[in-house]
Amino acid sequence: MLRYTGTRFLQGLIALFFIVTVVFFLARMSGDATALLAPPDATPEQLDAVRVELGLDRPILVQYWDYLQGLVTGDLGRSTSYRVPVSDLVVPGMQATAKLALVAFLFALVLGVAAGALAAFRSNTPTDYGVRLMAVLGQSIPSFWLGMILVAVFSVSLGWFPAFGDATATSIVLPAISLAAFALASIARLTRSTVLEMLSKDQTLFERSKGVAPATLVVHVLRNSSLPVVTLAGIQLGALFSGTIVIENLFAWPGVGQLAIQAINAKDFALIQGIVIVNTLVFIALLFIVDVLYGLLDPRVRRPAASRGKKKRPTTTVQPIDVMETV
Amino acid sequence: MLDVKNLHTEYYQGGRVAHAARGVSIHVPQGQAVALVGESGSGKSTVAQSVMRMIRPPVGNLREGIVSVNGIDVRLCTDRQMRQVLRNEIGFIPQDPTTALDPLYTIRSQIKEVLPEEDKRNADQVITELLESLGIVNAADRLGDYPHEFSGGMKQRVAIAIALAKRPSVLIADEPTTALDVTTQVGILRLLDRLRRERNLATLFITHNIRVARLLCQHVVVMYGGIVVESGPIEQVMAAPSHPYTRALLDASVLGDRPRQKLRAIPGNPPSLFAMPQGCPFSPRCANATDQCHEGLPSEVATEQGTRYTCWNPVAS
Amino acid sequence: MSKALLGTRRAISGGRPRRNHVRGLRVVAGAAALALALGACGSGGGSSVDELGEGDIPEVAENQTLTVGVATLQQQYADPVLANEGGNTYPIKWSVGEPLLRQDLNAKFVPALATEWEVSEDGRTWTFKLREGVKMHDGSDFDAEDVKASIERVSDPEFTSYATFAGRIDKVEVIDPLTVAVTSKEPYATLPMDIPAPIASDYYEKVGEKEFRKAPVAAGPFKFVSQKFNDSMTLESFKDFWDKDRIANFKTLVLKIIPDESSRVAGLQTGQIDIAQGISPNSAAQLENDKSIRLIKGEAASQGHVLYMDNYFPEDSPLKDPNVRKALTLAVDRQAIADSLYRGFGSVPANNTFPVTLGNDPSLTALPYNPDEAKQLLADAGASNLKFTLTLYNATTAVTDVQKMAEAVVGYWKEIGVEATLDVQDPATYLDSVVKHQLRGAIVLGMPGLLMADPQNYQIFFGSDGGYTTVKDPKLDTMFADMSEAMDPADKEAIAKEMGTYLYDQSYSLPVVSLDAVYAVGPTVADFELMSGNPYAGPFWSLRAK
Repeated sequence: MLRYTGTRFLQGLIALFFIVTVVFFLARMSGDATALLAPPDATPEQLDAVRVELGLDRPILVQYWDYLQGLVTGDLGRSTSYRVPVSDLVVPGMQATAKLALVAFLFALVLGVAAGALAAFRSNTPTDYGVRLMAVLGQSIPSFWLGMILVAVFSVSLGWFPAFGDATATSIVLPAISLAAFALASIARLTRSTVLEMLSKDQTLFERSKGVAPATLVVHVLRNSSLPVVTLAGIQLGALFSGTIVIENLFAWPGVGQLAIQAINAKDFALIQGIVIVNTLVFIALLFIVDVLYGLLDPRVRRPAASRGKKKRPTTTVQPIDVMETV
Repeated sequence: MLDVKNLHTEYYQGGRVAHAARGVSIHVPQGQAVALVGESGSGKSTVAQSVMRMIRPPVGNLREGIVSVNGIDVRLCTDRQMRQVLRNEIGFIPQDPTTALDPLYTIRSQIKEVLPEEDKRNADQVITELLESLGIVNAADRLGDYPHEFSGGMKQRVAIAIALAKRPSVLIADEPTTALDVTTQVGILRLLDRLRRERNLATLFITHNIRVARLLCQHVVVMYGGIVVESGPIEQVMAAPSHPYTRALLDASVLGDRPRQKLRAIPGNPPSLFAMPQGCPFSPRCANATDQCHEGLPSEVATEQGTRYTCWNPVAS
Repeated sequence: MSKALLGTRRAISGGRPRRNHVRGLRVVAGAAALALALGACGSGGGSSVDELGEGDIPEVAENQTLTVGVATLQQQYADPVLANEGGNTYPIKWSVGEPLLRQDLNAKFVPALATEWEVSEDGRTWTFKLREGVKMHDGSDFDAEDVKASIERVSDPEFTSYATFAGRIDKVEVIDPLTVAVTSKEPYATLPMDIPAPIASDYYEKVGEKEFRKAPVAAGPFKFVSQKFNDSMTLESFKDFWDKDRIANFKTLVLKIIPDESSRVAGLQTGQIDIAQGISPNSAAQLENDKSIRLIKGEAASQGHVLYMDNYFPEDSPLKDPNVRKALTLAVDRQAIADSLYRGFGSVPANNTFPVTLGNDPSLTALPYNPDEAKQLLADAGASNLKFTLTLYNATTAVTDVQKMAEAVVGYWKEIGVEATLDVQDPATYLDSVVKHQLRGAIVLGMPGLLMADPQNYQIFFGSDGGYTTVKDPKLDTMFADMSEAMDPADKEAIAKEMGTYLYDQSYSLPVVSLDAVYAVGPTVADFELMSGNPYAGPFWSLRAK
């Protein structure tokens, strides 16, 4: 388990390095921020001065090396457009994004699992059809469109929730729902099919044959259905983090998605890189969490049969049975 | 005591009806073991599941007949009453313990779930004793282990422990040894035989291998296409089978047959449950079949040896 | 004093400010030139407030907050000097900062913290007399050191938007607490307008550059209170502001960044915001039924132009033929574009300059839509199979729906047999390649009226050494050089008029559409007047709460 985690961590670091490198060079392939930052009537000499100020006059490999050195010490560099350290922007941005993504995720997970399980336990009933219809809708409606509809209904017409921003506690409701819809539908569908499959398995038949209470049976089925759902949930959470761009824009949510758009438009190299790095770190962390969850949920991962020797357990044998009858 | 009379069980699939059991009758007295023998699709597992009432609408239905477990007709039970029957009366041993045991729970918690209230107070001790009586040594150390940490034979002993922890009067074993290797098979069969005797269990032993059944059963019921084709004391049936299908089964089986292997000596396939032949279900594959066989079923014939069969042209013995 | 000098807020739009204490001929010339050069307001300019009642503006709306939903605040500098990068950094520049000369609602430069000024005979040294009794946001008294500190501060190359200005300044001398002299290396006619807003020098020295940027102290009509990155800026009305007419009657002004227009509209409807910037015809139609919401239009705030890059290069190209360029203008039904794409918020520009541009000649009227003549012109020029690339960027604050506009233009060209390929880029890539002269064919640029009010700035696009230049034409270069040297406003205006005519005759650009800046205001807003030719958010000192 630990070695597995360690390998994952190392893989994450390599992926991070790779992504940083690609982004570093790709971002610099199509022009820089000089023209954006210089006054329109700047002379070529003044443009050069701006370029020096931005540190873009040095050979690209030197810039790259400096950047990597900074990274090792945790320095993400300085935003050329906002003129503040990148971490000052990315950290609060990621906090806002994470808040939105996590709330949306919890919403999607709880409701998705509940709806999916309900549909499976009541398969081929109106409840099931209803859940399936909602799931198809949830997966096919674009999130920004859903967001606009929610705002039109719940903000403009009913006045229940703010139309945007994160000023009040209820501000998060509409963006979180808009963001969660797709993940909710995906989780509901997967839960439904997994539970359905689980219900027809020997395991469930055997559990039923015990005559246990329905609640006990449901717990068994749900726990066993949780593994593929956890995998999907991890993927969906990652998708939620990137999906926030559209929703943050619509709901004026001060997250990292909005920051990314600004950074790209402003050719703010350090900021773009900083956002990519923080995003990658979040992904790595998510993969790690999924792995740990897997271990917690599945004893086969936590205690693989092969490593049983570690605890030095006496080997169990069948008691010798008197000479068997031959047929 | 398990008493099944004239059981008709159906499955529903896409608007079609599959007649999986058509008038099946089986009687298992206390302390006796009855083998229910047949190929896959013969309806033998349907009978076992009907007894536990696992077949419920919309999947299927026990349309007709009496399924009496110690005098309680499971067809008439409410869900709650049925759970009581399953908890108190019926022990079930699955075909493959690897797929039947819950991989996420320790064996302690899986056994504990079925313990009667009075045993729960000192559950660990009860479970340990039970497991040790089933041939698992150092059971006390292994209560916290998970199914994947046991070998196949050990897992089946755990499954048997779950079946027995309820202190049932009826034991249903659905091909309990097919997933195991030959040496382990015999051990489990011996164990089941011992338990039947010690605990006076009415045992319904479902198998496709009639020779395996002989190791622990006194009676046999041979099923084909949802009907009972032959039944009677197992020694007599094996010595002098009347139905051509029973004959073929005997010819085709040896101890240690691999699971789900087709019977080599019987040409063709069992009929589809959705398209049963009008007459004897075995007639399309039967060497003795006459026109009569394709048209209708004869009534059951009793022999002097105490066996009964359903056939127009029985095998000359 | 302020009333005597500037009149009431409403008087500004009508009359010219009266100036007292004028010293010397050059001063009169210079000051008048400025006023004229940058404020010559044509009939098309000005702002209009629909249905906004008069006389219902309370003296004070104690503790009231007005929230403006802006599409962007760009880099969100709190510092009014950093906030000079154009676009929507200006709301802060105009709110927190107060310069020596400010633009009034007609984009005309009028005295602000400087009451009078004169320039030396060699045109290099400008001496400013500063306003007395002005308070900075921290309560300190404004003086010459604050001017000096601000000018010296922008010599740091990090103030990229002042790179040109700083490069031209030689020295700053404090003559007495209310007199400051600024010397440039060469004669510098627009120096007074280019000086950064003064900052509280003692405070700046005490807290240092880094802290100052986070919590700037200047002399503008609003004090900076706080900011939340990518979310909002909170300002507070500065009750000790020197110009009583520009003190807000409410307490707090929140500039809330709401990138999505539909959300700004929704926010206005829910009352989360009081003013929404950047309203499109679609939203306007949607708001028509809402009686509590009114639209405010600032006409001719920006123009979308097509410019031809090939004129910059020595190689032969059909686009170098004025008749071909004229054909490309004639081929486009600009009225149809204005009507269908910008429904009521756009019009066809009469010529290549803005109504607010000094020397704009209203007699130059828009070439009519005439595809037949266009075809004939192309055939005569032997350019019937014309093919080129039209490059643009997808997100200019100056022109909404710029891509749809470009698609429409390309569509009309196609009808006369011209094959133009659209190449849509991101802003930085685009501007970078324009500056580096890497593009050929044609490009689309949005021009803000505010910038183009000074005809000198056409040099940026049409002078050989302009930053975004598309033309190498000695005739234009001579005009720009003459303009920059002209100290007499009449001279500058005459040259500007000549330039406008020349651009028009040569069809050096195709002015596709002139756009209005549109705001929607909710019931809490009593009054809000817009600045002519200003496509950006603000200034907000004309905003009054109900």
